Amino acid sequence: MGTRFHPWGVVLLVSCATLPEPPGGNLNLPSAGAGPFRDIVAAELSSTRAPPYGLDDGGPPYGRDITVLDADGDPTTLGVIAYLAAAVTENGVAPTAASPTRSIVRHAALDGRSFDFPSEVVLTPDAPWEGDVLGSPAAVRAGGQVFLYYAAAGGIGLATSTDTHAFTKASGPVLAPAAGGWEQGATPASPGVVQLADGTFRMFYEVALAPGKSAIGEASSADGSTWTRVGSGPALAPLAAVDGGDTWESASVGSPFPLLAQSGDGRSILRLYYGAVDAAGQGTIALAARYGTDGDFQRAVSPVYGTSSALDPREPCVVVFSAFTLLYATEKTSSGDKHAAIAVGVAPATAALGAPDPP
Amino acid sequence: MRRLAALAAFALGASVASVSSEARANEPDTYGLGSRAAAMGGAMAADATDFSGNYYNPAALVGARGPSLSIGYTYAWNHLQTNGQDNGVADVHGLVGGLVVPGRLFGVPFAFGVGVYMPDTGISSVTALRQETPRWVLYDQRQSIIFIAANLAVRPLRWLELGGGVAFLAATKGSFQISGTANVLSPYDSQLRHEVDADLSAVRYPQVGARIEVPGVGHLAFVYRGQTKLDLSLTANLQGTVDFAGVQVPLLYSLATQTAEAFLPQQVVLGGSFQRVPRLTVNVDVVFVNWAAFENPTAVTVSNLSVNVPAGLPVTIPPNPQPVTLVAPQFANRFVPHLGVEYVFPVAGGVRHLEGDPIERRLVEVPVRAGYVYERSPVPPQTGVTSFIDADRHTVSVGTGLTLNAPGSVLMGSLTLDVHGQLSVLPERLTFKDNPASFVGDYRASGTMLGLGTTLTAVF
Repeated sequence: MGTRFHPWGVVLLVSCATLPEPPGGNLNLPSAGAGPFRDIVAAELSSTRAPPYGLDDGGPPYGRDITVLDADGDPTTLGVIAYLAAAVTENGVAPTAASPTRSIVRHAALDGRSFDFPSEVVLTPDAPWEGDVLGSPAAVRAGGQVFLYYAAAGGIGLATSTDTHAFTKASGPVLAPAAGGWEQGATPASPGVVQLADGTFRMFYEVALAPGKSAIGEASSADGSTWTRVGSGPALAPLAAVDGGDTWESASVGSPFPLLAQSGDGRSILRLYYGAVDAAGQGTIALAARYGTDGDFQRAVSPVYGTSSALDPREPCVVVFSAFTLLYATEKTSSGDKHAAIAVGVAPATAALGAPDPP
Repeated sequence: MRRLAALAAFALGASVASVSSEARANEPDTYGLGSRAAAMGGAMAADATDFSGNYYNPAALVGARGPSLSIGYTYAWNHLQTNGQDNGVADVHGLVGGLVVPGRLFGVPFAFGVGVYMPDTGISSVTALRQETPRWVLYDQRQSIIFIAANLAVRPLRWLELGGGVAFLAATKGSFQISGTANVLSPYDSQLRHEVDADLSAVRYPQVGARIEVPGVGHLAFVYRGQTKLDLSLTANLQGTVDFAGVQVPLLYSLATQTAEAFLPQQVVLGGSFQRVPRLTVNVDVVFVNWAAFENPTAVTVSNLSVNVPAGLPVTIPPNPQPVTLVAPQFANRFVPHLGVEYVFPVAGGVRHLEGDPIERRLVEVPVRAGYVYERSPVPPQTGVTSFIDADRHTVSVGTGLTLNAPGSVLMGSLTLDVHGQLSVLPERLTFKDNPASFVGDYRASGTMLGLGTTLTAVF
């Protein structure tokens, strides 16, 4: 006690601070599993494939526009089957990457992403209304059958199968062009179909409004065969920014893929993945959703896939597994190559996919 | 008297005029500084006469009975979870300590103090996250900052103590330059020049306090702690040539990112320490926390990649990302009540009369302490783009110790070993997103924190 200080000695009024090791806090963060999707990497894909492509023909039949079904409906197992649109050899001449698709082919993947090949042809055009064109398949499992929708020259067709291999076509298009209304007679294309909780079906389809510009329409059906258009306008249309500027979908939206989900408090969510194109022609995969089965869609804050490349992904398909969600999309393999391949993405980005099968 | 007032003004002025903001730290804010303070729920503004006054109230330092030295260790286990899964928020552990040196300056009671919390995990970097990324915004970084504060206190009047101090954070401004040629096919043949220019500048912040003696009752206290944050900025430029098997591709990439991290809001504390009953101390603090000033910690990044790819080269150039528009976090101001109780049991040994202590002491005493804090979450419902995870926090603490009063001629003051335990419970909070296309989705947040610590204090 009794310590005395000289005033000149009072100089140490300083302290400092900085930060120590990374703080953590990034494990098991909440994720709706809806995206964004990262590309799968080499260690997650069979060694005979180049990531992120789970399927890359590299030549005929140039499969594209994939739709994928969980093989056994069990989200804890990864086996899937897939249907793609493919070109065919005509008059002994092999197709090119730019050839139109004239068949639907089947693939499978034990690990959900390393698809086998060669493919198995399951559908070819044989009806006049199809116009010798089949494309953009969309598969739904319902009532012990696979409903396989496809785009053709005269509209959207349907084929059904009980064994996923042999399909029986409906006699005509299940959704033909609408003479009036906002679709202005355009042929509906690139269908995406989902079965709702009440057993009814919803179809979303692409409608070309002008060259390079499309919107998404919606139709409903009680049995998956007879469809009625919903609403008097597009379910989703290109969207400019509030200030009139460019967004990732200011030019075009199309190739829809609907998916049922559930919120944390049990609300039903209808997600709609789609191909979006901005004013510069850059393509990405985007997401919109709505609570319940009807009403306006709300868009996600950013695209879910394709923003880090210029490969213009389109025709998304999403399969939800128990620990992660896989996105399949058709995209260019490089900006200078017209041939497309099936890229695979996973969400959340931290998901561990495990070893590929086959290795 | 005028001389005393001038001295008091000097002491506070030296603290305030030289700084722009305050020495408010993170670990003390969340877990308490020192075992006694932690055990009493941090209700210390009117009672922090040991080294903990360097955080709770600099003015109280002048109430120290004698020069003291404290050292201790604290460890807090964080179990913060969403949707039932632990999010891995880092445990917080490190050394605590400090000193208080009272004396007289121009005949006026005076004290100088230093308080320290130093994590024992080493020094590293800050993580800047995307705006949409969920985070435990109040616990994932702020308690990891080293806290060192130094304070002055004077007692210009018998019943009035004034104090103030300074601390500062290290803010980072830097640039990173790369130039040269990168050979794609033979990376080891690349010739690249790197230049790093980093600048750590100080962000200072003040704290000032006053303590008023209420004769026969105890003390009242007022404390102000300023606001601070770490402003982090980085620019990077890459200018060079990429060699694709002899094809030279000129490339220019620039990136600028700026973020504010480790935000600490300004606070105003009103405290009371009631000591009417000998050996019993009841402390109550109410802290106003200006969380409304919280800034979005998302990094604002602007980048530009310019490449002229020769025709035919199979290279895809990604588009430049759109700049992020930050969402105002709109945190709410909060009043945080702290309550602490201490009773000191005389246990054994002869009676002692310690200088400056009006109470008769026995050689061996055992204090028993308890405390409670309720921190209502300042984070509004995260129904939109951001997902700042948080929940209300109830903290219950207990503590005890062993004090040897004047144990020998070497130590005429006291030697005290304090220990404490602290349990924080964050009841489940539900967040429902307005947008069904949210990438995060609805979530449940909850958690517990368990803290243990000990402090050894020698009063000379």
